Amino acid sequence: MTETSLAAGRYRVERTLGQGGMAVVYLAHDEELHRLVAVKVLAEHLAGDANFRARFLQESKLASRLSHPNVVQVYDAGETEGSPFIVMEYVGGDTLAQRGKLTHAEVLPLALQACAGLQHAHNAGLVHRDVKPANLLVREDDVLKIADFGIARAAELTRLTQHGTVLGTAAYLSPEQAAGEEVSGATDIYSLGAVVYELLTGQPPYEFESLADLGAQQTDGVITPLRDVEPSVPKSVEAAVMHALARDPRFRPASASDFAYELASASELPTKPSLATASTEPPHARTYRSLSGSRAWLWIVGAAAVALVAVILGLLSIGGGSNSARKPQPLPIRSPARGATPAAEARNLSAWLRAHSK
Amino acid sequence: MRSDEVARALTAGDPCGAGSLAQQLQRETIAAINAGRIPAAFQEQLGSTVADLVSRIQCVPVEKEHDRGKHKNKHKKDGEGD
Repeated sequence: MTETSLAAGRYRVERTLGQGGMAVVYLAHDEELHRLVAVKVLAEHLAGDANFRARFLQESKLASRLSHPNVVQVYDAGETEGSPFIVMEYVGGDTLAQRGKLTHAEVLPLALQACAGLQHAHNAGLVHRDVKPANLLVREDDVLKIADFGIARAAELTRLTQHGTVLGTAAYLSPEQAAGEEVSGATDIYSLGAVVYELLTGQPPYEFESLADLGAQQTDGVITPLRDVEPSVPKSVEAAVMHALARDPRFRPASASDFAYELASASELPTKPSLATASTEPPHARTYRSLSGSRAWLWIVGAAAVALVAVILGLLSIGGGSNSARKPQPLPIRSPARGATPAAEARNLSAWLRAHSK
Repeated sequence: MRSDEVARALTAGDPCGAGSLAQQLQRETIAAINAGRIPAAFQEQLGSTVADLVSRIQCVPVEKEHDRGKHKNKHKKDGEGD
């Protein structure tokens, strides 16, 4: 690569868009297709690692299979002068990291788009693993696009993130990631929940000083209920976000589409356009997805009418009950901590319910 | 979540409101358990915690405060924290 072009001159670099610990991103002009593109070039200190270089390209190629309005399209990938690069759709606008705290009316349409993009990727078998505000790009017309699919995976596989770059985004790490356990689509749902929590409140779910501290808090700590920090957020939105932040991945929304459904239902936003965007599920989609809009709303109204009963039924209907066909869960079940005061006890109960919710 | 509402009422210095919410939580919990919708492994912890919560919330009636000539601090405030 030269200062002004790469890939044998095909991409003419116009300016630097950003620089992170892993890569430099340039705005470039595709001289063959005559369009603006973003080119991400792996940082020199990583490019020297043959293993990482190979992973970077492999995962980039996997990511190039994705084609969705809410995912940054990968056009090309290759190596030039020993530096791997990815050529992507250029997205003007800014990132959610630049927007700061937002109202729930501003956040929810963006969150629904993120859910749609994630669902598409999950259907394709890809987990992002690094959903964070800086990876959520928002165009001037408020279309959100998820960037950097595959890159976190490449970094993780070569264990470069354990003590270095991961700290910058640890606020959005799921408990299973922080613990070094296996990740799944539920990991992205947690991270998106953490992003939404921060956008709505101006603070991450957990304040921490190190990965060990984060892990300890995710094990024993309690996330302050969203409305305690930002009372203007509707209760139902709080419930949806806290559901996504469940400690155990099995107790989070079953899919990104489910999370979108909960958010859309909770927010009283028109669900059809959002869910149409999110409808990237395979044919065996969950039953409620085949309901008509009016039937779905009846279900919601019915659930609201029975208040906590519905919450408990929804949150605690995990295996082991006499009416359940599921296997009993071999988890040790601890009682909620009593708390020094009744208020603390009530909060601990809420945390316990959320921790054991599905 | 109802338990969040209880905590908020206590934090706001409304123990009587919190007590009412806690009792409502208890009724709903019992109903859910009786309906067989709470897994057995969770019933004892949930039921006992809710019962304990109800018993710990003390509502001081306004009339008694007034009778004793206490015109301020009608409600005993509850503490906060985990």
